Amino acid sequence: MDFSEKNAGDLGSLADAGGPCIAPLDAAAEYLRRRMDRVLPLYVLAMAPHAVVAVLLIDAIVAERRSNAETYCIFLVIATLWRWVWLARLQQNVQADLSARQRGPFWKRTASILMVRLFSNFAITWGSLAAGVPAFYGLYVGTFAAPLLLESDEPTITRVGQSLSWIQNSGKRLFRVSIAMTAITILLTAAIFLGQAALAGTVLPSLLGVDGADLNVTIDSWAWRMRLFYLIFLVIDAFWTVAGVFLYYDSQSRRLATDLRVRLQGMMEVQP
Amino acid sequence: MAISQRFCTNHPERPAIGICVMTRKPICGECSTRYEGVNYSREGLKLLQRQRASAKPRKRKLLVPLLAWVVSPALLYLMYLGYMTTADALMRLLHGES
Repeated sequence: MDFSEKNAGDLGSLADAGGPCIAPLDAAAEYLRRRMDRVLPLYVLAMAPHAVVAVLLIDAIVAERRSNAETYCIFLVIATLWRWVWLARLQQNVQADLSARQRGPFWKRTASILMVRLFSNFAITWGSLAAGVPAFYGLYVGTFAAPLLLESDEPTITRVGQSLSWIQNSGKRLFRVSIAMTAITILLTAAIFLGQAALAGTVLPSLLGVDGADLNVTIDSWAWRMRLFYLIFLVIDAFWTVAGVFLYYDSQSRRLATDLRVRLQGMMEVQP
Repeated sequence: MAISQRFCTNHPERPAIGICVMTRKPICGECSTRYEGVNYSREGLKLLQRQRASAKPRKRKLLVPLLAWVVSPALLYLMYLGYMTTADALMRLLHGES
């Protein structure tokens, strides 16, 4: 089934239709369910070097090999740039599906996308030390970078300015989305760790008669725990990458008043 | 404003699916054209075309991109520093001061 022809209208309208703040997240989950074949290969391509370096870095941290960690941190910076490029490509595919249009040129905007991601990363990491506000704007500008710059040929600085006004306008809504994503992450983490404990403590020894002593040594180690955290990051990151495109259209339509529901609500409010 | 605004300006019998960003009139699916992620009516597109045609070609600003390229190596270094600080903190957490 060609998603862009048969379902783009449904999801496109869902992204534009207002409603609860998690509506774009629902739409993203639905998109992932239907188009995993389109998302997964690019996501694996984007994250493979990052995952390899992250696992090596975790080993270096656990073994307290500082010089190795320094080297892996340099590799991690390079892997992050690679990740941003291919996640932007993935977001371009989602954007093309949603707008039922052919993909436009990608590589001529790649440098600008990387630049925006770099600045937003700075706002998220170092900006969060000063206050939460730069981190909030940095998170959403970084997430919106690819759909924002691939939609129009306008200069990067103009587009970033526009996106900041959309984020400002949908601030409360996006804040609630951040809370929902945090809750999803906490629930997923709890489910994975509880599931693992149940498996090692009850299911394997009692039901299958397997001695879990060796397994307990593994899962009680920090190397294992940190790898599990990274796995959770991968799941959340894949979802967030797709959801970013839906949130982008949601914020855009609210700011530009192309969302009929919001416009009508405004009309009704001024009605005597 | 009247409730009839829920319907298309050109086709009053059809429900509107959006608002033209230029003319601010409600429009149905047939009257709507999505361009650069935004809904336009036929009149709205003509207005946009006229606006863009009359706009003077902008001077390309070089200062901001230049500044961005100059600053980006520093940001890359800060990114590395961020990773290294986190790795250091984790090492201290797991192994104590050494």
